[in-house]
Amino acid sequence: MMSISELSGFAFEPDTMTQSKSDPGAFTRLYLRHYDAIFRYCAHRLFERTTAEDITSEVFLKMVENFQTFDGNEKQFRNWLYRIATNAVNEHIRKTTRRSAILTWVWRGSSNSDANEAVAADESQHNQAVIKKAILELKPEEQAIVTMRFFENMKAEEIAEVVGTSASTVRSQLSRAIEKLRKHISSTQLDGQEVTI
Amino acid sequence: MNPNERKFEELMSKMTFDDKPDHRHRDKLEQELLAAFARRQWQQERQSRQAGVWRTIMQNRPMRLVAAAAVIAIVGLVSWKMFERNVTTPITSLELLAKAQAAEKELFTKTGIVHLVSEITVYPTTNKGAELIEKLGETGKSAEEVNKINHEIFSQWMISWLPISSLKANGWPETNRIKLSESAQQAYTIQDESWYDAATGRFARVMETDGNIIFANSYDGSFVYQSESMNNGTIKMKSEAVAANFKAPDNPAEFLGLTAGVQQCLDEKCLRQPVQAVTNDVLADGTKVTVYKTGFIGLTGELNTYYLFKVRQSDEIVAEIDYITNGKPQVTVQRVLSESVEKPEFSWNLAELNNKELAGETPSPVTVASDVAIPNISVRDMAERASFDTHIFATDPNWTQQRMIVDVLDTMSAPKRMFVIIYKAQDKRDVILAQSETHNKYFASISKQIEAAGKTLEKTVYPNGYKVWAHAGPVAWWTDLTLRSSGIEPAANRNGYIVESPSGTILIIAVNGQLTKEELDGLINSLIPAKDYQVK
Repeated sequence: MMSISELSGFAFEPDTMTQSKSDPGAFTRLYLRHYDAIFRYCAHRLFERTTAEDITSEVFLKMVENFQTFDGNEKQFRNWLYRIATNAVNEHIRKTTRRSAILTWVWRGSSNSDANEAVAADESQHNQAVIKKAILELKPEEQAIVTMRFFENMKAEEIAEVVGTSASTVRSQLSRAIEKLRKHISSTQLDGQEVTI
Repeated sequence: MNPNERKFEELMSKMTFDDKPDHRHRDKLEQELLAAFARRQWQQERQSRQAGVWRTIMQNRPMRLVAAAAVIAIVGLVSWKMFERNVTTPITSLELLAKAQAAEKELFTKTGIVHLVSEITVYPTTNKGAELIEKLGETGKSAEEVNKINHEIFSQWMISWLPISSLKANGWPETNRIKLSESAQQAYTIQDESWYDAATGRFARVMETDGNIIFANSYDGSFVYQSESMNNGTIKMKSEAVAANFKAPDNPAEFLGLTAGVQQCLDEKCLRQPVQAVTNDVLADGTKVTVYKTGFIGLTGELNTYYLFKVRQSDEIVAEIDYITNGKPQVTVQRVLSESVEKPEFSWNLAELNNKELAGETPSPVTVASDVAIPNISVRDMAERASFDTHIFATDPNWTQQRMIVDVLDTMSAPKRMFVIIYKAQDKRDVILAQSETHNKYFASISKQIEAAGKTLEKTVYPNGYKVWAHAGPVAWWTDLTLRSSGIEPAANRNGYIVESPSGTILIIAVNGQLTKEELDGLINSLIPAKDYQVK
C-alpha cells in the first residue's frame, strides 16, 4: 500500500499546477500522479473496488470542474483531492440503503467463513469483517479520519488540512473514534477470542 | 501515539484490501477527464476573459490570431510614427448587440425541433497580398506611395473568410472557413440549414450550393459527424464517438444558425474594436432593422473593413450580417427561416450522407476548410510544418510559466502557415513570438525602402547572430494589436521588437511590460532554430 509519506516524495514544482491548468499533457501527468492514492483511499473507505472506482471518477471529475479556481501547490492539491474524496465517500455512505448494503456485504463474507468453519485464512477474513463493520458503524467523518490515519498513514496535521480543522481536533476525534471501535470490537469475537484493545 | 492508538494500528496493519488500481479504469477515466478538461476550458473562455486568456487562445482565438499576425505583417517602419497611438476606445453599443445575441440563443429554446435556414453569399475576391508586398519592396516610391501600398496590403488581408464553427467529438469547437475558388467570377450562394433538438442536444447542420453539399456537422447523441473536403470538391463524412462526458455547448448559437462563428462580435469586442456606428435601415422585404457597424480600423485611421449586423427592431433577431472591405461585400449572411418542425430533413446521423449523391452536376467552387488554426502544437511540429526556418527561445523566458504554440493559416501567403508562440507570465509580462513567410517578405520590402531612402537600418547584433532592429517603439501599434489579439490587455509599458535570425527569418516579439537590459539580452541570446530545440 502506498502511503501518503511516499506520495509526499513528489517534487512539488511550483509551476506544475499552473501549467496543468492549460496544458492537457501536464494535466494528465498530474492526474496519473494522484490516481492510485485516491483510488486506494476510496477502496479503504468503502471496502469495495467497483464503488471505489465510481467514487474515484466522481472525485476527479469534480476536480476538473473546479480546477481553474484552485490556487495552491501540488501538496495542497493532493489534500484538496482527499477532501473531495472524503466528502464524496461520506455522501455515499450517508445513503442509508447503500450503507446497509456495505454492512451486509461485510457480514456476508464473515458469515460464510463461519459457515464453512474454515481455516485460519477464513478466521482472518472474519476478523477483518469485524473490523470493517466496526469502522462502518462510525460516523462518516470519523471513518475518514480513521482511514487516513491508519490506512493512508497520514499525520494528524495532514488529516487536519484535508478535513479543514486543527491537528488537535483531529487527535481528539481520532481518540474518540478509537474508543468507539474498541467497544465495538471488544464485544465481538475475533479469532474466537474476546479481544481487548 | 498513545497505546490505544498503537494497538489499533497493529490490528489495522493486518487488514487486507482489494485496492490494487486497475489501469483500465484509470485509462478510461483519463479520457473522460481530458474531455471534461477541454470542455471546462471552453466554458471558461465563454464566461470570462480575465486571467484565463491563455487557455482561450486554444479555443476561440484563432480568428484573432490570424488578425494579429496579419496586422503585424502590414505595419511598416516607414510609417512607424503614424501608428504610435492607442487603439483603445470605449465600448458604445455592444450592450445592444448583446440583446441580439440573447435573442439568437432564445431561438434554440423552442419546443420540438428548431429548424433554421440562412443564405450565405460569398463574393469573388482576389488575394493580391503577395504581389503588393513585392511591390512595396520596389524602390523609387515616395513615402505617400509606400503608405498607400501598406494600406492596400492591409485591405487585401482583410478580404477574409466567414468563420464557420463546428463541434468536435471531444466537445471542442473547430473553426472552419468558406473558400471560394480564386477563378470564380461570380458570387455563390450557400444554403445553410440547421436542426436542433433542445430536449436531447442533437443537431444537424448541412450547407449546400448548386446541388453540392459542401459542409455537414451533426451529433446524434452518441457520435459527432463532420464533413471533410475532398480534392475533387466533394465531401466525405467522418464519425467519431463522443467522449464519455461530452456535452454540447449550452448555447447552440455558437455553432448553429446565422451568427455561428461571429458570436464573439456579438458578445464582446471584435478585435477589441467598439461598435463604430449605429443606424436605422429597411430591408428589401420591408423589415425595419438597426444596423451596427463594427470592424477593424485601418492604417490611416479609417474604418475600411467591417461587419454590418442588421438587427430586426421588432424582436432583436439578427436578420443579416454583411462583411465589407473597401466598400465591397465579401460575405453576406441572410436569415431565411426560423421555425419548429417535427423532425429534421436529414438524419442526426449524417454519416448517411456517404451513401447519397453529394455532388451536383458541376463541382462547386466553394469549399469549407478546417485549417484556420491548430492550437497547442509542439516545437517539433512547428519546425516540420513551416515552409521557412522557425525559431524559438531555447528556454522559456524565466519570468513566464506557460507556453503555447499556435499554427495559424498565413492568409497573406496561404496555404502557408504562421506560427505564434505565446508565453504567459504571472507577473503579466507575457511574451509573444510570431513568425511567418509574410513577415519575412514584408520586412524585406520595408528594409529595401529604408535603404532606398538613403537611411541606415540600425541593428543590434547579438553573440548568437540574431539582430534586433532599431525603431521598434515601445507603443508601436502592432505591439498593442499583437497582445490584444492574444487576449492580453496591453500594459502601459509594453514593448515590441523585430528580430532577424541568422537565416533571415523575421521574428516579431511583443512583451507586455518592461524588460531590464539583462532580460532583453537573455531573451535574444536564447533564440535558437526550432529544429535544434531540446525538450527539457
